Amino acid sequence: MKRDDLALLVEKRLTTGQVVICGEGATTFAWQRTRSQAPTFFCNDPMGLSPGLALGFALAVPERDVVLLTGDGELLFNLSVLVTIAAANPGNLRMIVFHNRRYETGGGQPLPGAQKMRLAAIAEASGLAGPLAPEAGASAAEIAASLDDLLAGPAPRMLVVEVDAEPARYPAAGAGGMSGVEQRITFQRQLEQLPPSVWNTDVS
Amino acid sequence: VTAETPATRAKAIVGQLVAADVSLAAMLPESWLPDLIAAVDAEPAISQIRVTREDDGAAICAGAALAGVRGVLICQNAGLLASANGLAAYANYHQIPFLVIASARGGVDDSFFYQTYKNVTAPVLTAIGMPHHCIDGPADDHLIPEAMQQAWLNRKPVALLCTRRGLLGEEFRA
Repeated sequence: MKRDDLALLVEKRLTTGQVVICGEGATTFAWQRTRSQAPTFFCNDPMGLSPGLALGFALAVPERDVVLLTGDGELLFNLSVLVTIAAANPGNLRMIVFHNRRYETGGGQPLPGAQKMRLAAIAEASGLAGPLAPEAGASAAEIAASLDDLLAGPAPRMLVVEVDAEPARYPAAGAGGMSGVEQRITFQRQLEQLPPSVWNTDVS
Repeated sequence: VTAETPATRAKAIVGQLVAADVSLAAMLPESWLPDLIAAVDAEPAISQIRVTREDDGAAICAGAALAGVRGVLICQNAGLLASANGLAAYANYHQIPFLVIASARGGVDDSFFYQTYKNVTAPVLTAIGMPHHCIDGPADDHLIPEAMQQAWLNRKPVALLCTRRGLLGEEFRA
C-alpha cells in the first residue's frame, strides 16, 4: 500500500471531533495530501517527540479522541516513549505507524535492522495491549478493517501498517508552507471550532 | 526560624506550582528530587507522568499546552542538555509554553564527583532562547508562578534552575 492510500483510508474514517497529531517527514506529506479537515498539529521538528506530544495533548483533553500518525524512523528514534504511553494509559490515544523500513525524507536509507524488527512486538512488550499489524502485502480491505478495529476499539493501541518504499523529497518548508508558530496557531484555531468548545487557550 | 528540610522545600515548591495553575507534571528522578517528586505525587491538583527521557517530558508538557493546560517538567539539569533539540524547537519553532524545574547539579554546592553541568546549563539555555532563573531558597519561590506567567506571555518554555539549598533547604557540607 502506498503512503497516500493509507493516509486516505485514515482520513475517511475520522469523525468530527477527532484530533490528529502528525509526525514529521513523509508522514506529514501524505497527511497533507488528504486535505483532511480534522484539526491537525504537525510536529515537525523535533524528531522523535511526536508520540510524547500526542500523549500530553491526549491527557489534557480526555474527552477527545486523538490519533497519532508517525513513521517508523521517527518512532525508532525514541522507542522508550512507548513505555511511557503504556504507563500513562491514555484511553483516547491511538497510534498509526507508517512502516516502510526506510528513512524516506533522508534519502531512502534502510533503518537499522530494517528487515528484522517487529514494531508491533516492541509495542506489546512495552505494555501496549493488542497492537495491530496486518501482514506485508495485506489488501486495502484488510488494512481498512484493521483501521476500523483500531478506531473502534480500546486505547491506547497501536496499528503498524507496511507501506511501500517511495522517495519523499526533503521538506523545503513546513506543513502548508507555514512556520511552526503558524502551524501551532492554526491548530489551536481549529480546536476552537470543534463542538462543543471546551478549549481554554487564552494565555492572558 | 524553623530549618528548611527537603520535605518543607518540596511542599513549598508544590504549593507554588498549584498557585501557578500547574495541573500536569512530567518527571524523571535524580538524587536531589525524591522529596519534590513525592510531594507532586501527593498533590491531587497535579497529574504526574513518569518519563524515561527528559525530552519526552518536554513534549508531554508541550502537548498539554496546546490544549491550554499548564505543565511542568521536573528533572536534572543534565536532562535539559539532553533535551536541547526539543527545547529549542518549542522555544523557537512552535513557541509553546511550559515550566521546567531542574536541579542545578555541578555547582559549588554539589559534592558529587561526576556532576559538572552547572556552568554549562545556563549558557546552553540562553543559546537556545530559553529564559532561565535561579531558585536558591524560599525567598525565590515567587519565581515559580512568575516564570510560568513569563512562559505563557512569551510562548516558550522557561527554566528554573534550583540549587541544593533551593531544593533541599540545607547548606552544602563536604
